[in-house]
Order: sequence, then C-alpha cells, then structure tokens
Amino acid sequence: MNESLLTEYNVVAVSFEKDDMAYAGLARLKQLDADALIELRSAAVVEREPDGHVTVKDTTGKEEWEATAGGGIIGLLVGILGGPLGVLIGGATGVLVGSLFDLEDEDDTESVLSAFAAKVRPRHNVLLAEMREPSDHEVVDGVMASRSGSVLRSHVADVEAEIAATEKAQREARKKARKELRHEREAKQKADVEAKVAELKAKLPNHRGNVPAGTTS
Amino acid sequence: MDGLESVLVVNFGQDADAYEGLTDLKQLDAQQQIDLRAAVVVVRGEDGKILVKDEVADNPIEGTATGGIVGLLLGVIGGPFGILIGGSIGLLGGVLYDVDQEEHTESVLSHVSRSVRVGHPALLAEAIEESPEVVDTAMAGLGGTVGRYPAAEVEAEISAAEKAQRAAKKKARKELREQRGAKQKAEVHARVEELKARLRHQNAAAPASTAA
Repeated sequence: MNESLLTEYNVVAVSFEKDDMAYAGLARLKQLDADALIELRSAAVVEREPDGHVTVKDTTGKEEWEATAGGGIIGLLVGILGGPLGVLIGGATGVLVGSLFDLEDEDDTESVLSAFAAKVRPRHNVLLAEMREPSDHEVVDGVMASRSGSVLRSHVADVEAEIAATEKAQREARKKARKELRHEREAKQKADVEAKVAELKAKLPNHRGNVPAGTTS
Repeated sequence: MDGLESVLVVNFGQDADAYEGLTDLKQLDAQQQIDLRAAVVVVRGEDGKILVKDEVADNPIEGTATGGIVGLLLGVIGGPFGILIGGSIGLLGGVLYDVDQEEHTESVLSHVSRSVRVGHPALLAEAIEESPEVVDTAMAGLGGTVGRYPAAEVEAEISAAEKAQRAAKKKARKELREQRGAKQKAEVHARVEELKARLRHQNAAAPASTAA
C-alpha cells in the first residue's frame, strides 16, 4: 500500500471473546506492518490483575518495546490505566480484590482514557496498539472482527492530550474527594453513618476468622 | 472504661519500634489504662496496597482486628481511593509524578492514608482513652508520634467514601475531557515527552513488565 494512504495516527484497544485471540491479534498487526498495510508503532497484550494493576504479557518485540513502547504512548497508557487514576475513572472497582465500593455506573462523560480504562477488565487480555493506518480502518477492523475482537479506537492526539492532563485530573479528583468527605462528615446523621458502617463491615473479607489464632489480647 | 473512642495512627522514627508500640498498647490495655479494641502494624507496599504485619484484637469471637473499624479503614486506605486521597502515590507508584503536598484539607481519611507510608510500618489502633496522655507518653518513649481522630468522625468519613469516590471519578473524567479540548498541541507534546522520558528513566532503573 502506498504510505500516503496511512493518514491516521490511532491508538486501539481490542478485547476478544476468547482471551488467547489477543496474541493472535498482535501477531496479525505485526504482519500487517511487515506488509506495509499499517505502520505499527508499538503494541502489547495486557491484562488487568484482580487488584487493579495492569500487566504486560506480550509486546511487539523486546527490543522495539524497550526502545519505544516502554517509554511510548502504550507504555504510558499501561501505567495510567493500572494506577489509581485509571482504576478510578475506569469504574468497576467492585470486582477488584479488596475494594469495598463499586463504581460501575453509567456516566456519559466522553473521556478517552476512561473508555480505555473500562475496556481493560480484570482477568481479561486486551490488545493495545499505536499505529498509522488508512482512515477507513478496514484493514485492522477486518482482522480483529475475524477473531471476534471488538475495537475501541482513538486518535493519538486525543490520547496524548488526556495523558498530558492526567496529573491535573488526579489532583482535581483528589481535591473533590477530600472536600466531599469533609462535607459529608459534618452533614451525616449518626444513624445513617452507623447503618452504612455496618453494611461495609459485612463486606469485609476477613470478617470472622481468616487470621491466625493467638493474636488476640 | 469511660472516655473517648479514637482511632490512633502512630508513626515511628525507627521501623522496628512499631512492633514495640503494639506490645505497649496491649500492655496498657491489660493494665486497664486504656480499652484497646484493635490494633495493627501495617506497611504500604510499593504498589500502594496495605499489608498487615501484626495485629491484636479485642474479641476473638466477634472477629479480628481487621473486622471492625480498623479493618474498614485498611480497606479504604489500601484501595485506589485511599491511594488517591492520600496523594503520596502518583501514577506508576509515585515515580511518574507525585501529587502530594498540595492543599490542606481536613479529611481524616486523607490524613490516615498519608500516614501509612510506603515501606515504613505504622501502628493503627482503635481505643477508648480517658485522656490522650497515657498513649502519647508511651509512644513518645519509642520515638512515636500519635495522630488521634474521633472514631465517630472516622466512621462518618468511611460511610461517605463511596459517594466521595464517585464524585472524584466524575471530576477526573470531566477534567480529562475538558483539558483534551483546551490544551495546545505544543503544550501536550512537551508534557507527553516529559512523561515518556520519566517512564524510560523508571524502566531503566527497575526493569519490570508491571506498571503502577
């Protein structure tokens, strides 16, 4: 393909019905790159751990990854999505180990990072890639669709713009949370507090047992 | 015992003294100088999670130290929300950027979360005290500094944490979206390059496939 047709710089996240397909998807992207149908910048198969962290399971190639992706957009994405902010904006904290709260609700904000964070679900493989591709997206979409992959796509510029804003967003979120806590602390009725605390206590994983004997006073 | 029910957070100059501190609290309880409900020695891992290193509980049938308010506290401050409000850990375990020491808020949970630092054991306890002096003196003897919060306030914030987390999520998403539209391209590029450089530096310092 004429390189001039590769007009879009995109980041994609692909989830698959069968997790193993993520590796096949990565292999196909490499092939498309070799055939000059796309220009693959970096790619990785990642998985969110039950505790929220994101682990890299496979990459475009060790050398390329270390040279570019480890410090590239995909590397940054992996770090953000697996950090506190990524977990927060992704929602579904209730499925994470040790998380007392579930945040899975419909929120219509159009944050690109939120969408990517939500796409990387616990215990499932997701293929993340940064590439140059034709604007009709057909090559990549076709390859992924044939493996029952569902593609989330964003312009690199939008992803970068949000990445550049993460520090501020995290700070603002923290401010908001602290303000909310303080306000609620002053406003809440004792009975409400007691009911809520009892409810949360019942959710504690270690309640009644699970801890070695002989630790009591 | 009549007195105020408090949550105590004690930081020590020497890490090993946290365990001594736990023993001392137990002793004060045995001498009925305080009524100790639960106490734990905890440490925050590099990933932000809280590990319980040692514990003591008031009632073996009711549950363990991690079943009551101390347990709830650990659940909150060791989760993503606690890490967020504690502020000491930025993205990528604090290496990419540190968002600490920004503004002063009076959130009890923020204070507690921040007091449990990476790699340094802290002593967390729930106790009824007639006066703060008994514990303060004992801990001072071990080089410990005591943070003391009314149990009712801690409970009130814990009961509000879910709502606060939701509000924080909304705020973060909104901020991201707005900044995406507002930022200048050159500014974005410079910032992203800076973050990439930090990430490369971090990877070089500690090669690992796991981030955060």
